[in-house]
Amino acid sequence: MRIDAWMTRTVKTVKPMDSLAHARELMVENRINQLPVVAKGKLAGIVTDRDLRDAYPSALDGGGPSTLEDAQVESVMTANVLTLGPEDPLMRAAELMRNERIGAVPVVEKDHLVGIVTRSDILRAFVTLSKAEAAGNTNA
Amino acid sequence: MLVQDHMTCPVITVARDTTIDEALRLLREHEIRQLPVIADKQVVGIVTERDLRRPAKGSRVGDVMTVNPVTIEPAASFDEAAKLLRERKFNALPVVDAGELVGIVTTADVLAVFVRLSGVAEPSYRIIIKGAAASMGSAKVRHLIEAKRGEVLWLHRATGKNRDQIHVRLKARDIEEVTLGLEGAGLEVTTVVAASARKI
Repeated sequence: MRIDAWMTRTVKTVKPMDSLAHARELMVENRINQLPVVAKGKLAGIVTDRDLRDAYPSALDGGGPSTLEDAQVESVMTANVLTLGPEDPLMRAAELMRNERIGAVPVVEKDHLVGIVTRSDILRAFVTLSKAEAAGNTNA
Repeated sequence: MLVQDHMTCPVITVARDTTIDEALRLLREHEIRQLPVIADKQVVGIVTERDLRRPAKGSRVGDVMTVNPVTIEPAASFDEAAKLLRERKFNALPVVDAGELVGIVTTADVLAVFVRLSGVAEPSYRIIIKGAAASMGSAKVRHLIEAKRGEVLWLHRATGKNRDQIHVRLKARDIEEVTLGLEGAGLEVTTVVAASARKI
């Protein structure tokens, strides 16, 4: 089971200079908890809703939108991102997320972001596989 | 595969009158993401870090918790739990037996089971390497195997009259590719034994 069969390909991303307010809006609109940060077509980092909360605890829920407008994604993102390739086994992604306690792993090919694997993708793979097993189809 | 076989227990819990600061401390200390809220042994709510860090409508867990969370029974199938977690976008489900909390099943538990099942689904092999093996370092052999997408489970250098042999147990999707890689580096692969593999 390769990652590219299960990853999400249309990834919402932000740029390092985008405002935190913009990042938060994207997360809320799309009901996601993390956004890869892309600069000049390459993956530069990742920003999570927790990063935003840690940086501006009160601003997040309407406390002070001006701080979120002013601050840039670059100031709170994690720059050293754990990534995997599209051909890596999906199991590696599950292992990484569990061991590092992270919610998603960006999928990168030659420095370019080609997808993202989230916990939800693993749950989907798990449910699909168990269904196949229940139906007696062991070739899944 | 039942919930009770793969759930996490015991569970760290709080009460309605636990302070928000104390609840946040518990999350950090135990590196967990949510706390079931218990009253009279019943699960009356659940709080996540997000709930606790919302501008306080009060200073106690009871003020910010999600009341009457979705729960699951220990005898339910683990697949059912995974499905619920995915469809409802939950991170955890309290496991309740006859009204009492007996465990919690989280997305991390599903990840762990997934990893375990993938592990046995991938065939494993035992190979014996001869030839230039005696002079080649174990790290180099390991590297050659990993370059061909093999995963070394253990590697053992034989002693005595077989000291030019390296015995390796490994997982690989394509054992032939691994063998060719080793042979390409001047090694002789004499025995390949496939261990029985169970598929999920």
